[in-house]
Amino acid sequence: MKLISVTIKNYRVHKDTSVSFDAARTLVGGPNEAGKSTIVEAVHHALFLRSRATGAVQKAMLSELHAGHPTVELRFESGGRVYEITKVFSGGSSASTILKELPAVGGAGGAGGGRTLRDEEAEQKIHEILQAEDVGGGRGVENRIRSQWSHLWIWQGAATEDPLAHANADRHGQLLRERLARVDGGGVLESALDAAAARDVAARHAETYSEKTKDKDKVRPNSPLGLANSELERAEAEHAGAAAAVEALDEAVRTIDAATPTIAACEAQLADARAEMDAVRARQRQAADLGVRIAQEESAAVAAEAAHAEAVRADAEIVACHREIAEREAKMAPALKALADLEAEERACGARCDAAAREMADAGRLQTAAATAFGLLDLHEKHETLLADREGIAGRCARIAEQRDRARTLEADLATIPAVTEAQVIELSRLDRARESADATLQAIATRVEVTQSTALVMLGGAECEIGSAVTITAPSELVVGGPGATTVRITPGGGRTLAEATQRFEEARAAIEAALAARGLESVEAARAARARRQSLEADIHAANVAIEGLGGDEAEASLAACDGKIAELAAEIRRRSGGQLARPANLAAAQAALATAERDLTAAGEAVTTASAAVTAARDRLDTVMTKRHEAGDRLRVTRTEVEALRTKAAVLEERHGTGRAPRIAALDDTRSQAAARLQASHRELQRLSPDALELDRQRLDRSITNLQAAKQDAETKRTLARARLEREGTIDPCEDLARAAARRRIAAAEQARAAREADAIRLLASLFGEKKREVESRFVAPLTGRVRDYLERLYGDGTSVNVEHDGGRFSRLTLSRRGVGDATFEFSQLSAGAKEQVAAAFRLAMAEVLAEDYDGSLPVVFDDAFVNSDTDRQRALQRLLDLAASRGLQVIVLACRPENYATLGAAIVSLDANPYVGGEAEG
Amino acid sequence: MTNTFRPKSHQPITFIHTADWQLGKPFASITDPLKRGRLQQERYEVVRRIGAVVRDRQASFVIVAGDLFDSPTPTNDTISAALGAIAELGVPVFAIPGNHDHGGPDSLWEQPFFKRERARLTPDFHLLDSRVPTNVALRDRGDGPKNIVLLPCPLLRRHEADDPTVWIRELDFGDFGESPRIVIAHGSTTSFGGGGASRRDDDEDDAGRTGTNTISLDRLSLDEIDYIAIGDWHGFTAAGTKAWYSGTPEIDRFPKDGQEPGHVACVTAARGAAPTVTAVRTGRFRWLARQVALDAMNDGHGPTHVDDVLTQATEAQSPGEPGFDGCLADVQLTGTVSLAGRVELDRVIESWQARLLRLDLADDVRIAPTPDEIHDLTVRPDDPIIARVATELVRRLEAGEAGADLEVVRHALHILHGLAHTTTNAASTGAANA
Repeated sequence: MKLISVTIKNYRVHKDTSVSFDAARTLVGGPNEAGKSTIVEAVHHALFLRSRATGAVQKAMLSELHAGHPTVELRFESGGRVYEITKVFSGGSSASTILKELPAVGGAGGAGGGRTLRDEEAEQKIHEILQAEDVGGGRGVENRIRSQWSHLWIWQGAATEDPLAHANADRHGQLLRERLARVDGGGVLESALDAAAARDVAARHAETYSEKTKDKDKVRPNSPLGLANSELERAEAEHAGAAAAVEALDEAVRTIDAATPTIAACEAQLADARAEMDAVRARQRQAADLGVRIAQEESAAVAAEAAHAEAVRADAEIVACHREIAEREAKMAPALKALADLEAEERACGARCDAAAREMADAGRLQTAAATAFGLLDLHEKHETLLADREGIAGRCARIAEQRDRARTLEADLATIPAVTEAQVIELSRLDRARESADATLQAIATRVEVTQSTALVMLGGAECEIGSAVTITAPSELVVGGPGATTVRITPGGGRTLAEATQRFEEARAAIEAALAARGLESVEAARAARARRQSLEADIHAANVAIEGLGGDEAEASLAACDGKIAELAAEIRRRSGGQLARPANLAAAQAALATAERDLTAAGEAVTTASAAVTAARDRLDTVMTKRHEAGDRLRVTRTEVEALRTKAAVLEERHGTGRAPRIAALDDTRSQAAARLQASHRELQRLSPDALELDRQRLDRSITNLQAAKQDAETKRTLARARLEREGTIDPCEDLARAAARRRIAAAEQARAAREADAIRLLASLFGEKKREVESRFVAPLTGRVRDYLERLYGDGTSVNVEHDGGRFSRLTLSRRGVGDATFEFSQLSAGAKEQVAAAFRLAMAEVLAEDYDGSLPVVFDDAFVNSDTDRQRALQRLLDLAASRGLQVIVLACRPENYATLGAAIVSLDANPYVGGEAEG
Repeated sequence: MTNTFRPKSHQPITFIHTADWQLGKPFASITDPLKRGRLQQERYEVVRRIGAVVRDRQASFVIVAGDLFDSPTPTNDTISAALGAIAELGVPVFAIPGNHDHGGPDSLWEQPFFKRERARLTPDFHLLDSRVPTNVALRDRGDGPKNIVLLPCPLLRRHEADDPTVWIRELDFGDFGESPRIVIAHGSTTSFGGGGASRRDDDEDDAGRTGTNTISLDRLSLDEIDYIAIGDWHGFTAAGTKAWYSGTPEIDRFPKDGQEPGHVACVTAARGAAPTVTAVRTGRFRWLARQVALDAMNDGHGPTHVDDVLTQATEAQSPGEPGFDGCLADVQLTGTVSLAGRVELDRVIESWQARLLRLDLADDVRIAPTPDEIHDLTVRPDDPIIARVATELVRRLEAGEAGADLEVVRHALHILHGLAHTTTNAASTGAANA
């Protein structure tokens, strides 16, 4: 089936547009809104939409620019015939469909030429020719109509849709499957028996194996294999338990077998050990007895030795005592003589001491008398000296009083004169000079007015001026002549402002000098200078008087006089006290001093006499002390010696009383006893040595250990045997051997069943896997004509090694995937592809479908691409032209609508150019 | 089975020699409790049948040469039932412990319960658990007083490393006078290998006993001995001059080739004479062993062949004897079977498992699809998936790929075959519903 041409009238932007389609390649170009999409929609409506269609789909066709009903005239070729459809979409009763069969293209036929069908008959025939289903009209027809041939008609914006959606659409899918079943030798799909068998295998597989990916191949516990596995596990556990029970019995028997000889051996060894132990104990008792005897003999020997030693020692001690007494007594005679000598010397020294003491007392009395006399004379001499000093001080005090009277007179004069200082005089002179200077300045500026002659009253500055009198004005003044209202002259002296300033300065200077004088009570500057001179003279006199007073001692002289009087009185009182109330003054100071010197010499002589006597006393006393000390020491020594002699005598008496006389024979007897005891002890020691008691103890310990060990071993064996016997004592309700036999049988049966179930499960798994594999194989073979063609197209785009796959399951195509060599060798789902790749793969798939389907349409079908490659880059655009060209060369009628026809320059297509539509005012095309 | 006996100067004496009763045997491999109970009960029944033999042959006593019990630790129930059955024999019974019910310290024979029950139920039961000569004065049965000397060789543990008859080699026989001397022992002899070990490594086996409980008959002074009664070997067998295995009176395991279990020995012995020994059948159940080879390519050797073999083998041998319900079969299947044949074979096996007391099956039959079956599965234009799966399985089977578990592949083919032929109806129904 091929489109030949179309004429569109009153259809949106088209008033009357005709387009001829090339049998293989047509490129419809034109700018946006030129009406490209409208043309292909009109063709589609002519083929599939009933002319009586109303509602939105009909209204959308109406033109706002052109009067008349939308009309489409489509000419196409099918089954070697050429048809022309004319549809008037009036939306009302005037709608019409006419199908004319025209003479064949080649012109050779003509048998059916000229046949014309109308309306319903025509619509039916069109559907028949197209093998399309009738979508009818009414509500929703705009959507249903759009799905017609949607696998061949790539509407604008639909290029990236999954082509499988269109392949699966009811009528298309059915036609495609029918074609695939016949094409290329035919692909056969699974039969009902195949499906039933596969279901059965899958069900049995699912019964045994988990379907979760995570637990793949995990056996379900409730499946036959799972049950067989767990039964085998339980049977093995039971068998192990039963075997252990039997083994425990065997073990018990072995234990008894082993324990019995052990016990017997232990008992025999115990008997031996006990006999040996008895022998060792007997010898040990013997050794113990011997030990007791040795102890007794040892103490006897020690006692004999001690007795002998004591006798010898006592004898020696008595002899020593007597010798020492003799020695001490010999030493005592010279000591007695020395003591008597010392006592005599002590008495002599005492007498000398007393004499010296008496001399010392005499000298002391003389010295006291000399000192008393010297003291009184000294007071007298001081008293006289003070009286002489007092006279001198009294004369100076009288002169000081004179000078003080004079100074007081001068200061009274000075107080009457104003107190002006030199600096103040200088300041007053400066102020006076300033006042004079200001006055001179003022006078120099002032105006002198003199009325020399006048008949009228002359008034100056408000004051009447007498004729001939002169007035000096220092300020602007009005001169009025002739009373008020007559002549008035204004006189302004000097420079105006200068005059005023001079006047002011003068007044200030004058005020300053007057204030300064008044402050000090002065008449004038001259008076100030006079007062100053007078004050200087008086102050010099006062100073002179004060200097004289200082020279005489001033206040200090007067104080000295008082002090001198005080001391004189004190001395006089003291002299009276010492002299018994008398004050007998010496003749004069010199007499007093001479008497004092004599007394001093007497005093010195008395002191020297006392010193001499004192030294004599001290010497006598020292000697006495020395002699007394020696005498005490000699006495003490003598007493000690006597005490010692007494003690020795007592000791000797005690010893002699105790040991008596005849000591030598007794000592000899004791020595004999001692020797005998030592000999006995030595004999006993030798006897004990022969019994070797240390070895005996070791033997006893060894045997003790041995007996303990043997008893423990025997006890252990007996316990084991008793326990084993207890294990063998049975209640008789169960037979462990029978249990073991049963458990073994159960295990064997379970193992066989498990093996059988495992083989069954393995077989089912193998079948499940093969069914899956073969089902995919069959489907793959079924879709091979389609995928092979898609690959042909895509290799034009992506090169060799491109492959596509489509699954077919349950009458539906699904899971379109693409894989390309070198691109990771990965397989991509259609939905994962980029928009560009989607529209390319979709185009290839649609062309492949069209190719497969075309065999039912004389080997050709139109495929419309309305701006279907907007996402493809320039290189792919170029490659796409090879793809489209391949489709055309394989018989398909490729119709491409493009707003940029230059992109398809190398397609080699017949080009239809639509001009831009100048009338467009409505919606965009399409 | 009979030795010529000519009485000389001494009066002969007749007795029954039996062994290996193995009372209380659990038969644990048999899962059905009723069948198991029948087998267990039959072991007591056979003791009663021995009683009939005793009466029939006018035997003076019975010797049980070991393994009276199956276990060294039988339950009280087993002990009481055993002693009850023995009491019915009506003659003195002399038994030694065997390897299954060995003596020794605290063994079953020394348990208080056993001693009590024996005293009350069977005063005439004598356990010989010491290796010492036992002089027995038999009851006068009208033909004068008779004495015998029993030389017991009890096993005192399960596996004795030393020959239990060693003590007899040193024995001074001078004291025994003219009484017949009967050795009682249990174990294998130097001339006969291991006891009754069956083909299968299962509960009937006495594993791990090689080289133990071995009796050197040739080292005994046979001139001084008049009969050696041996137990342990389950078939009735002469073990040498004067020495016999009586075998078990009721078979309890699949027998070795040439063995004839299910008998007792009826012995007539006298001092200085060769004994007369006769096997008397006492067994009831049949333990059958069969090997059947199948061939997938030969219709005559298909599953029905198995059915035929078993039918024939289990037919009642005489009126009153049990048929298949008194049989245990040890069947070894080998060869190949087709996919369809495997289904049929499974049905046959199912039937015989139900019928027999026990079917011990070694199913080594390999599935070998026939060319027709392979064609049926692999050439299916309308079922492409089944065909492809089948093709792959057949390819693997024929390639015999290393590492691949061919048994699993065969089984998978078996399942697939079942699916292709049994889901057809379901599939068409499902399709119709769809």
